[in-house]
Amino acid sequence: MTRSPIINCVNLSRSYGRGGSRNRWFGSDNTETPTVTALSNVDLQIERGEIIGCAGPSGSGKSTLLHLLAGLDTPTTGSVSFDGTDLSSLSDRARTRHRLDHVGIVFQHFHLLESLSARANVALPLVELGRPKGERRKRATELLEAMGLGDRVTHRPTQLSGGEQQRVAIARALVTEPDLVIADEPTGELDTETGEHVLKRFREVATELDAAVVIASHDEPTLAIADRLVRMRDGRIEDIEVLSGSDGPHDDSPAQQSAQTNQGR
Amino acid sequence: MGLASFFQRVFGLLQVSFRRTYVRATQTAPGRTWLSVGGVALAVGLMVVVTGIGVGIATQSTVYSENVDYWITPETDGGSSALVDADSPQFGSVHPTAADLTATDSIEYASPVLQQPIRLQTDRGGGEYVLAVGIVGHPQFTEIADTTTAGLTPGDPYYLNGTWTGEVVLSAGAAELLSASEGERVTVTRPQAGSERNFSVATVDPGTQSGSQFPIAVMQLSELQAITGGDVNDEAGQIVVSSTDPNVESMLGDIYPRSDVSTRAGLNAQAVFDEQLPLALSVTAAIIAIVIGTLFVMTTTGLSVAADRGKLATLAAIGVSRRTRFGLLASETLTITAVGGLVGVLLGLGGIRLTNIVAQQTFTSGEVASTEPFVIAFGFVISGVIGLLALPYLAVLLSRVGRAKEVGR
Repeated sequence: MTRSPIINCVNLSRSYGRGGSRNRWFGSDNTETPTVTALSNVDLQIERGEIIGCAGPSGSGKSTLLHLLAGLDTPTTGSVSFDGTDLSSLSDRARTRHRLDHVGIVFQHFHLLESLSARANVALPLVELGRPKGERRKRATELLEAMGLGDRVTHRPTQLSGGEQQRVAIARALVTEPDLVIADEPTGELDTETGEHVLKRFREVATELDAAVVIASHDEPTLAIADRLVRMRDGRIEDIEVLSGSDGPHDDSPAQQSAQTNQGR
Repeated sequence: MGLASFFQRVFGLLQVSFRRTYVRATQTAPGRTWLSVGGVALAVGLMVVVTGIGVGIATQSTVYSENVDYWITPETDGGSSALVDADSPQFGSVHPTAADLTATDSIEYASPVLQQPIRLQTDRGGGEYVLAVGIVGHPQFTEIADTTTAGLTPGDPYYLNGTWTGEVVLSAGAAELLSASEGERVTVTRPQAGSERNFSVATVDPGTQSGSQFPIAVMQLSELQAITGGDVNDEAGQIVVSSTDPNVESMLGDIYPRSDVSTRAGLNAQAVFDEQLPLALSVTAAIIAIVIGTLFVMTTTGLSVAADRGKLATLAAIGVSRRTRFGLLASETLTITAVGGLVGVLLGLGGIRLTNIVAQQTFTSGEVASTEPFVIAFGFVISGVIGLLALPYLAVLLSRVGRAKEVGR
């Protein structure tokens, strides 16, 4: 059975401006003149339950692609559709709600709120969802325990090591049981054993929640968990490789077709 | 979103907000946080002091009577003066003048008024200065300086036949200051004669009027003159006249050269001005406090937002709506201004206390600034207004910074 992709990127490009006109009240950039192309003509489809690895040197467009997939940014041209909805057609408010309901993001630099405990950081999206306090605490504690941080729930980020902060960030991304997990260098601060544990957790999320997971990393062992590996260079997809031993989608899936299309670019 | 879910969200948001504010004030940005608190506190504190002084002025009544119509005063003095300095111009031969006026058909009564600070003491010792007001009693002349004249024998017997009555009516403020009650003996030293004069408290005014808290002792004019030396020239600072005849005014102006005649209408206008002045002071102080406090809070919270733009972007990125982010900033700002208001009110109360101490040690025995409960409430209200006025600026800032796409940049 062929399933429709949860993410469908069509001819996706993102350029960033330098200069442009300035707002006369606030002096900030009001319009952007495209001068730097971070992503160019990317076609990519991602299915539920699939883990996508994203590799490439710095500046290759990995983070830009992740931002667009997450709905943090909008493309200059082309479109990103989530379950058939073009994210560019959504208002800023609707995209924010979309991220809350459907997307979990692990940032490369964690971006935890230093004034809150590890548990409060993890529970933060549940506050926005209006979940009861007891449920928030229980869910956040369970996830932190699953990440091996059961004894650190009340610690603030500044009292945690880099690896511990990274696991808190991962727990926060998973707390809403998202349909799409975006992770930028999720094992960068972790030792091998903990990294494997976290990757195993991503596989469980993909399998149990039927969620798509996109991982950007420079670390080949981390990327080995992916069903497909997207190699990027100069803002373009250079190659999409179906990794051996993956239990991902069928070879005749749209994603595979898309990969073949991109390989020809 | 259901109602229960909405409240869960609001309570959760407030928890996060208070936690963030606490950690910021104690650990991550204490300088900036306390600068905000200090700015509001200073503005509110100064406003509380100015308002307290305004209220103090308003509650210290002028020396005039509600049941007289004309005031004859020396040209250099105003009819509504609260206190007449001992060295100010005085009228002479006031008893016969007042008697002549009272004998006029168109005048109901006339009485000289002499005001002098004197030192009274009870038999228990410990003297206190009060403002003595000497008058010639008349059945229709029922109050002076917001103090009743009931208990004084009409006609000033000591002047008429040398009978020393020793009657004194104390305002509630004077009675409280002296701890004196009706029938109690109070003594005043006669500087001129080097001896003492005894008085008996005829009445203690229960204090229903605004000026009753001021320490005032009303007594027979001639007896006050005898104490202060005004009997030599039969002096008084004013003559009050009760009459319904509008033609009396010109006649009164001819009695003494270089004198002014004030009418009730004129004094009422003056009274309105006197009553509105403290209000104007308070309003001006409030406006200045609001402007300064709001600018202060806007500046410091603007700095905080700029410093927090990464965190705000993170919140946006993980799906926290702009409304919630604004709610977080708003509750943090309102918390800071509320703490600023509390500190400001305490500072203001301290300032009022200090003002009264300085005033009492330099130029008055009473309080020049008042700590009415509404002054305290006023301080809190103003701090709330400061916080609320800063919120639109926060909303504008939030629309400019901390957007999701800024995360990680």
